[in-house]
Amino acid sequence: MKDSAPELWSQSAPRDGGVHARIIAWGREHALLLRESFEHVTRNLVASLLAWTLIGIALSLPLGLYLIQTGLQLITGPWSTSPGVTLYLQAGIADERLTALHALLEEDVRIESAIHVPPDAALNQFSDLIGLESLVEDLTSNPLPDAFDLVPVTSLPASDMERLIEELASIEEVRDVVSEGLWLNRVLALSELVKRLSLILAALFGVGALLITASSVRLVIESRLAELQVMSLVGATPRFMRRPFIYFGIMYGLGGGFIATMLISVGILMLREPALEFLGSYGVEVPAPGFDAPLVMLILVAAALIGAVGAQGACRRRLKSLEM
Amino acid sequence: MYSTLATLWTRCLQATNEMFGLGVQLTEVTKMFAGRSRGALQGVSHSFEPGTITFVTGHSGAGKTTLLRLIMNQFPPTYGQVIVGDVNLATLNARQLPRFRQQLGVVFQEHHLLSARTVLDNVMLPLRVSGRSRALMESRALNALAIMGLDDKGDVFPEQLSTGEQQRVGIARALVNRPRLLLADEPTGNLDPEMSKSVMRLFREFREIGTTVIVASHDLALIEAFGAPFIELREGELVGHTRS
Ligand SMILES: Nc1ncnc2c1ncn2[C@@H]1O[C@H](COP(=O)(O)OP(=O)(O)OP(=O)(O)O)[C@@H](O)[C@H]1O
Ligand SMILES: [Mg+2]
Repeated sequence: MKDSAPELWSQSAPRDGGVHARIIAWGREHALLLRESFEHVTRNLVASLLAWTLIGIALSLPLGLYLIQTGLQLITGPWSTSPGVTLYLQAGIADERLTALHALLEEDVRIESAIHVPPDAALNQFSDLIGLESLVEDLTSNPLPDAFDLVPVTSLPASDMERLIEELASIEEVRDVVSEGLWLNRVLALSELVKRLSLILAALFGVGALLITASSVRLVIESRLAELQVMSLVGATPRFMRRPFIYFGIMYGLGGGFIATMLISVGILMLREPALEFLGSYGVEVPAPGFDAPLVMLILVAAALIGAVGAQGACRRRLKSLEM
Repeated sequence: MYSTLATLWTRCLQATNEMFGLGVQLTEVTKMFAGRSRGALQGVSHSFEPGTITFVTGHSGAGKTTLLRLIMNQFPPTYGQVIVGDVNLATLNARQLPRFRQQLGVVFQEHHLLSARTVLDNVMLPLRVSGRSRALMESRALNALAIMGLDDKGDVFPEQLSTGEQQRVGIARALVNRPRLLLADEPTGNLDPEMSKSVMRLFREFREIGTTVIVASHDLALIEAFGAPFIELREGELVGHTRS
């Protein structure tokens, strides 16, 4: 043993540099923590996998619903305006009655526009549609009644839409009401429902994922209490002591986010075929809902954030109760 | 040897301001632990002057460790006040406490080494918490280890060391950040007499650069051999002190 204390600091010890050196020291510190947390996670692989899976499941549920909802929006997207309703009247209605009816329809706040389609125009449309002009020309009289093409206001909820159709059907002169896409309205309503549901679930399961990371991090903290006590006694700031655990939280979150994307990918693979078939039966061509790179990034970032916040919470609670 | 030390000493004194060492003032300090009718410390008043070395002695359970823990603000006194430097420890908030502790060097009775980290990492810890550069940390820590005769032990883990070696690592860690106040709790408890004397000489050199040194020890022979001032505790009460 050498007898010299002052030598300890005077002996050509490198100076502690300026801001630059501090930044490098800071970067090194974080790189070290990142490596350590990674090592910790891989050393306790089973426990980590468990946490990842739990977090992954918690994240994949709202995520799946979100994707279903975007899928529904893709279906309903092409109909930017709400689907029309056609009102077929009885044959031989008097002109003044038609005008009155037209006025009545236009006054209704639920109806955006009402266009009168006279039988001749309808017949022309019809012959254009089926391409049998000769057949139509052979008709001695026009079999078609007067009709109104209605466009309901876009914001009309599905339930009001159904009520409107019922009301229209009950008008004396109306023989038939044909709604082009009542089902579409239902899909729209369903899409809204799924959207809100996924928001609620995202909140609930997000909190769940938060609690899972918090408790996982809490376990790590417990296993290191002695170390933390020593660190505190040599002057470590609470922030310094929290740092490694924040990294653990981020690791747990990222792992969970990764598992969630895997689960979702498998889910999409399994559900895609039947979903397309089902939609095909409605004559709808739909691109598969996008599970693209930006979304995956977003999931991972959100998961890491949840992990960091959960860890932060666990640290604040546990470290505060430590008697230092 | 002594002439070089003397020049180093004057250099260091010039480099540091005159108030480098932190004085400690205990006023009527009583520390009660839960479930005990008698305080671990009972109305202890004493002033440790800046830049001096003082031993705290007494039988096992006399309150030596408790005294040091109060000074590092591990817990507050039940009654009385502790002033370190010009800071009344009762006024330290959570943000100020780490800064306060970064000025101390502490040798713990139970070593308190981090078992998952290498000896070098352990010694660097006080520098790491204050965000020093890697080069500075390593050079200082290696120096401190060399001074403690542990040049070749930097890469091993504490469990692979003898108890005495662990104690020396603990001492190296306490020295590494050039403390203004050095608290050493039985620093020679596991060391042979020769090593003990070396450690004591080392502590005296600290005093020479202005550090205030407080050493808890029940090794009366060692204290007397050094002729350093000491205070004696008995069942938590201050029963005597010498001045030199
Ligand atoms: N955390 C604690 N809780 C309860 N009692 C304590 C606590 N720490 C110390 N004591 C008691 O306070 C008294 C003084 O203890 P302290 O550790 O200060 O003694 P010491 O002088 O350091 O003894 P030793 O030489 O054995 O280290 C003892 O009676 C001990 O039992
Ligand atoms: Mg003790």
